[in-house]
Amino acid sequence: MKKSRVTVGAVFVVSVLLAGAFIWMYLGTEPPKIETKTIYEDRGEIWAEVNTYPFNEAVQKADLIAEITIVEELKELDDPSPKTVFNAKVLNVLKGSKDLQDIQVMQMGNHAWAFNDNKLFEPNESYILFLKKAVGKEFEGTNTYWILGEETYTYTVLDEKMVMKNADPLEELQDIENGEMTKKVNESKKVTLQTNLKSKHEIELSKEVQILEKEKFINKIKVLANK
Amino acid sequence: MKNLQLVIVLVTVILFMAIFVPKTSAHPSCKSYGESYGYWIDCKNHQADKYFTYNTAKSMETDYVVYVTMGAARWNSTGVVSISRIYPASPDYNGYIHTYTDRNTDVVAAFYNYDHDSSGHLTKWSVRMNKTIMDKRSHEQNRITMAHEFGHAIGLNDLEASYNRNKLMYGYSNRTASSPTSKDIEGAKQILSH
Repeated sequence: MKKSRVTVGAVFVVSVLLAGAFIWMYLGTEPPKIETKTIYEDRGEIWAEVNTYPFNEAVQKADLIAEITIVEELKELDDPSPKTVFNAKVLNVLKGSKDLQDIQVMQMGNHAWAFNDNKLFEPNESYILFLKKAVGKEFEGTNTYWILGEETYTYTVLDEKMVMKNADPLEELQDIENGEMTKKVNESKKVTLQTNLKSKHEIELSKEVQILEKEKFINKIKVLANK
Repeated sequence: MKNLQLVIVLVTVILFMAIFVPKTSAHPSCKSYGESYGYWIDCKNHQADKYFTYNTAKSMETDYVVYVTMGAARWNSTGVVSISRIYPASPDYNGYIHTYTDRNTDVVAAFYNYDHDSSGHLTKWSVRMNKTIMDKRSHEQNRITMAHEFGHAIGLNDLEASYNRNKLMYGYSNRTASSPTSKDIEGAKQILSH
């Protein structure tokens, strides 16, 4: 009897603590939020149609195809469209000027406007990007580029062996696709990212992605670029 | 003693119910569906009524006015919505459509959600058409793009899965549909049914 009373009492105390925590979170004073999260939650949404290209055409159209690492956010733009400019270090040029070391990359969206539900770049993340040289007075004398096809030609470097096409999977790339991993990632909507600092973190995905063998992908680009 | 145990159990049940009561939303009856349904509803940003209006910039070129009109017509012909143009032109109007020029992007056109009321009904939205890109495309491609943008104005989100490439609401320019498909129409009907 005494044991039963102790058990009931323990269940009651745990329940009160759990309920208290949840009520505090949902109804009462909210726990402090990370600043960036708050900004993201309040952002307006842009749903944009972006041009997409067959792979061959994208290789031909790009002024620069390079593996880069994001260094830092440089600035945000509002006009003519919301964008964020990042400083990036060039790791490997696959097409274009081989002597480029540091460039600026413009990504659509900023802290006020989410663009196609895309995640903004973060320092230490690596990407293979298909880039076009930015034009206009404000970019004269700079190495500023914008991304061809935006998220459809943004390839996240997952680790030394794999890259991820962030949207709009292409049939032309199926021969270098890791089918099993692509299926797994698209089902879980999550992928683990290894940054150049060798730390790992999981990111959530909102789009259908395609996981590709990095070395074969790079070779494919180089072959097409030299045609 | 039995009474005390009963009270404790009741209090526990009530507290657990408090934990698991779902968070109330602005539009509790709205279900977003998703890729596997062939349409994805934006429960926070959609039209309240099948009849809604838009306004175009005063200086808009005739070709662009036609793209907009034809885009709306493709939805109107479904009978699910009735979209009409309102005068005079004003950027402050809910539903403002205009052109702009951005040479440093591959964005063809973009839908901006500016504001909504507590029921998730759009109170301010706009569509921007990028002349840099649209000037180089065919009239038909541009009409399809505008039909797609009106899908956003109704309250449908972009579809991203490759198996939805045959829907008007597929988010990229390589979609194969040129008008609202049965799934796009079903989504619009769902939005306006509550």
